[in-house]
Order: sequence, then C-alpha cells, then structure tokens
Amino acid sequence: MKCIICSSLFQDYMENTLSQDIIDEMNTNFKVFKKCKICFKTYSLTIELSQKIKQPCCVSPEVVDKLRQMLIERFFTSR
Amino acid sequence: MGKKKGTISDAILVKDIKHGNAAAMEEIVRRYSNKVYNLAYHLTHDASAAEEIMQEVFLTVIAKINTLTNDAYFSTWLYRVATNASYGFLRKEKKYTEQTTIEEIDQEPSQDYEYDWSTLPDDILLSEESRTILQGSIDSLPEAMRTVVVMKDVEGFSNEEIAQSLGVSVPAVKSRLHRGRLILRDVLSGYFRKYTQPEGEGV
Repeated sequence: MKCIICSSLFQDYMENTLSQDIIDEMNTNFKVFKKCKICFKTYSLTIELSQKIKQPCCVSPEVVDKLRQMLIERFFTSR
Repeated sequence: MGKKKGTISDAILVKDIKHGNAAAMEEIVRRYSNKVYNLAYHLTHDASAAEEIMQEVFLTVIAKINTLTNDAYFSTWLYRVATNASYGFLRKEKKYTEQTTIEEIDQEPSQDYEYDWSTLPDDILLSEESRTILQGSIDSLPEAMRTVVVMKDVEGFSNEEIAQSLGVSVPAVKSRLHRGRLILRDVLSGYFRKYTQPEGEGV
C-alpha cells in the first residue's frame, strides 16, 4: 500500500470501518514506513486536541425559559 | 440525533407542532436548545451571538416547520438553519470573510512527516498558546471545511448527521474533514517544531 492511500484511510481506520485485510495492510505500512506512522500519530493527536479545545458552554436555564415563553407566544400568534 | 428508548421521536413532535401543539414545541426547545447554542457558540465564539442565533433558529422553526417535507430529518434541518444563521452573523459582523476556497487548498499536506510531536508532554500540547494556534487555524479554514471540522471534531456529530445537515454526501464530508485535519496537523507540526530544534535550545 502506498502511504498516500494509507493516509486517505486514516479516518476509516480510526472509526473501525475497514475490513481486516485493509487494517492489516495499514498496520504493515506503519511498521515499514516510519513517516507514515508519524503522520498517523500526529493526525490522531490533532483530532484529540481539537476535541479538547471545546470550551464548556451551556445556555443558562433562564435564557431557555425566556426563549420558551417567547416561542409559545409567537407560536400561538402565528396560527 | 438518535432517539432514546421511551422518548417521543422528533418526527412525532414535528407532526404535533404542525398541528399546533405547543407542548411539542416546548419539548423540541428542551431537547435542542443546548445543541443549537453550542454549535452557534463554537462557530462564532460569541456567547451573546449564540443566544441570538438560538432564538432566531427556533423562530425559523415556527415560521417554516410546515415546509419540512420529511419530519424525520428535523434535527439535521435544525443544524443547517443554525449553521447558516451563524455564518450569516459572522458575515454581518464582518468577522468572517472566506480567504481561500476549498478548491484552492492544496490537497497535498506538507512534507513535515519526520517530526513526531505526539511524544511532547501534555503541558506543551495543551498549552494556552497551542490551543490558540489550533483555534485560529480552525477559524481560518474555508467555510465548508471549517463547518465539518467543528461539527465532527468539536461537537461530535456523526458523518451522516453532518452530511444531512449540510446537504452533501457522506464521502464529501469525509473528504473535507480529512483535508481540514491534514491542514491543522501541518499547522501544529510547524508550531511544535520549535520544541525540538535546534539541538540544545527549546525543551
């Protein structure tokens, strides 16, 4: 397998949607080509870091309550 | 999003809203307000804008729910409305102008394959500076790529949900996501390189 093909399958490899023979081929590729393995490790870590930059945010219950009231009023006037 | 056991499906709630059932509307708000708010917040980075967008999205629900032909696709339609409203806000505020189109981005990643920064300690990987770099890089991706990266890697949507929300195929989502991730990986590789070279400097 060429590294460029291997790289295009990273996502499916991580999501476990590949057949076992392709997975085996990719694992062999990682063993043989160090650069490809590094690319995969840093690719997965990029995803992990993207997940971690998510700041905890949550709309306050008061805001949802106000929204709900406003929508209910609007809901009836729109009918 | 999936239906939990024992809960009323979105499709039934949507049908009820179409028949004027206000309680169904309340349930939809309860079910989706946080998701819509979070998506808007992570696209705009502005808490008050996210609140406004959330309000606008649910007003759109009331105004246009009768145009929804497949009630089972309600959530993806809702996310699409939220995404459009978020970019509408950013354009109005001139906080976002697309510099590069998705076609202009070179599919080939950089040659920086030899540097394994995955072995760096967490305090470097998760530093404020690296977070800022990553966030800035996500923000400067072309809109179509950025939306997919935020929905998948930040918000945790499935490929199918993203595809339905954006009206594109699953392979298109995967392609944008992969290219976006490679771009981010390259930016991070460039940034983290300072921690290993030259010999005797850095960490």
